[in-house]
Amino acid sequence: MNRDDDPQGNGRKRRIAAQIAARKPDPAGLAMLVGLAATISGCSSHDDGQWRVCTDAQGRRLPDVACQQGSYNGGYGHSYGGHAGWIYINRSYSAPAVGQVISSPFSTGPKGGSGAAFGAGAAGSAGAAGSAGGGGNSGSSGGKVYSAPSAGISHGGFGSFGEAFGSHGSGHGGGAGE
Amino acid sequence: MQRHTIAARPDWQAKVEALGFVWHSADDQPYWSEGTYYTLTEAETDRIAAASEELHQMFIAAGDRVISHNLFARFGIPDWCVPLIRDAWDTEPPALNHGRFDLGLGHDGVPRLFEYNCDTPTSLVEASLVQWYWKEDVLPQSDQYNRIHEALVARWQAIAPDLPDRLVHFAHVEDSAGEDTLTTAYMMDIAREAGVNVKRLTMRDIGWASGADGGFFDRELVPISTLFKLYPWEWLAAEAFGRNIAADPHGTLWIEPIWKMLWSNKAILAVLWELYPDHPNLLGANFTAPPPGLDHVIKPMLGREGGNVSIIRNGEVLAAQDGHYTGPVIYQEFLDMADHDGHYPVIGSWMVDGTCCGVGIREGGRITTNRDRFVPHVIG
Repeated sequence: MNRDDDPQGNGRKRRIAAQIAARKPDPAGLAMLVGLAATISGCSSHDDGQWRVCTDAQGRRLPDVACQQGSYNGGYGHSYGGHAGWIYINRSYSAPAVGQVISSPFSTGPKGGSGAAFGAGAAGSAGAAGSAGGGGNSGSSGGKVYSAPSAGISHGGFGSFGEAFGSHGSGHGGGAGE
Repeated sequence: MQRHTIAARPDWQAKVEALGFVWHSADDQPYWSEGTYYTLTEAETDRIAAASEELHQMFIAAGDRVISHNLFARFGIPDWCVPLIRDAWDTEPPALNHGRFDLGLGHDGVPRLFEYNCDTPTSLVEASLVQWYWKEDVLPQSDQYNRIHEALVARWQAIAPDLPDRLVHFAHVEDSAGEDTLTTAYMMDIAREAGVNVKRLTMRDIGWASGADGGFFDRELVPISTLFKLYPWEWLAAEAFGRNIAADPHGTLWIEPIWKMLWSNKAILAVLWELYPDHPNLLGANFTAPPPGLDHVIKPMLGREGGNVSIIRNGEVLAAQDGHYTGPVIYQEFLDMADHDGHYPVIGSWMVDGTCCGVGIREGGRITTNRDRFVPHVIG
C-alpha cells in the first residue's frame, strides 16, 4: 500500500476538498432522500400502502396546505394553476419533493376507492421508480430473461427481526443499521 | 484532535431537514449536535486513513483464515449459509464493499479498532451530506475529510456493468423515525447518480416463489435480480424465509454479499488478534474471558448500538448498556480513550472498496449507543 501519492506533500487533502466542492450533490438532486423525507416529516399522510400527495393541475407537487385549503396561488418560486388536489402513489415509489412534477404512476383516489389510475404502468405491473422507467414484471439475471410465475408468490417472510428490534420506535437508532 | 463549541445555526433543524435528515433529534434531545465540532489535523486524518486501509487488508486475511480453518461455528453462522459464504468469498460478486470502522483514540493518538460496521452501516447521511453542508455554511474556508458521496458514486459506476440487470431494488424496514428508510433513499440517489435504475421496497415486500421459474419478486411481480438491503445478514439467516436464498434458481445478487457475515461479526476481532497480536491498531480480543485484573469490554458478537456491552475495569463494571442481544460474546481489551470535555469521541472511518474516504464523529459516554450525538468536524 502506498499512500504517498502526493510527492509535493501537504496538499493532498486540500486538492481532494476542491474536488468535493465541485462534485457534492445539490440537495435538489437528492430526489429520493429529500422527497421521502418530506413525507416522513409530516408533509403527506400515507394510508393503505400509498402516499397522498398534493399537486396542481400540471402534476407539480404542492405543499399539503394547498389541498387542505382547496386552492393554491403560488409560492416556493413557482406559479401554479390555482387548482390543487390529492393524488395517491404506491409507496414502492418515492413521493416527489415540493415543486417537482409527478413521474410515477398515481391515481386520483385512494386504494379501493373510485379514482382513476394514471401514469406509466399504473394500470398493470408498474415500472421502476426514479430514473428507471419502463420495467414490467420480467427481468434478466445473468443474461437470461425470466418472468414472474403467475401464482404462488408469498410475501412478508422477511422483516420480523427488524420489527422485533425496534424499527418502529421513534428517534435515532433501533433499526437495522449499525 | 480538539473539541470546540460554536453557535448552532438558528434554523439548523430546517437546514438539516432540507437535506432529508429528519431524525436529527430523539426524545427532545438533538442527535445531530452542531453546537460543537472537532478539528482534526491533516496528520491525524492521514493516520486514520492509513490505519483504516491497513485494517482492511487485515480483514481480508482474517476472512481467509475463517474460510481455510472452517471457523464458521465460532461465528454462530448457520450451516446452510456456509457454502454460500464460501462461494461468494471465492467468486467476489459485485459489491459496494463499503463500511465504517469505529475507531477510538487513546492518549497516544493511535487509532484502535472497536469494530467494523460493514453490512448495514448507517450515519451515512449525516457523515456524507449533513456535516459537509454545515461546514459550507459555518466554516466555509475550512476543509473536511469527506469524499464519501463521491467514492460511493464511483463504486456504483464500477460495479454497474457487472450487475445482472439494469434495475436494482433497495429494501429496508419501515421505521417511523425514518433513519433506515432515508439512508436507503440516499443510497438510491447515489446509485441513480451512477446511472443505476432503482426501485424501493420494504423487507416485507420481498416475495418468493419456488420452482424453476421462481425466485425473489417484489409486490408488482418484478423479479429482483439485484437487491441492496439495509437489513443484516444474521437476521436474514435467522428468519425462515431466508432459507429461500439457498434455493434461489436465479441467484439474486445481494448487496452487500453474504460473506459480510464474517466481517460484521465481532468474532472477527478475535481472529484478527490471533493473526496480528499486538498490532498497534488493534485491541486484544478473545473468545474467552481474560485473566482477573485485566480491564476489558464484553460485547455480543452480533450486537448493535452498544446493546448489552459491558466495560469491566479494576474488576468492577465501569459502564453497561441494556439491550436485547443474547448469544455468544467476545472479550476485547479496554481502551482508555482520550477525554474531550467529558466526552469520548468515536471516529467512524468510512471505507469504500479498501479506500478510506471520510470520517464522521460521534461522542457520548464510554459506550457508544444510539443516544450518542453526531458531531461535525473540519481539518484545521
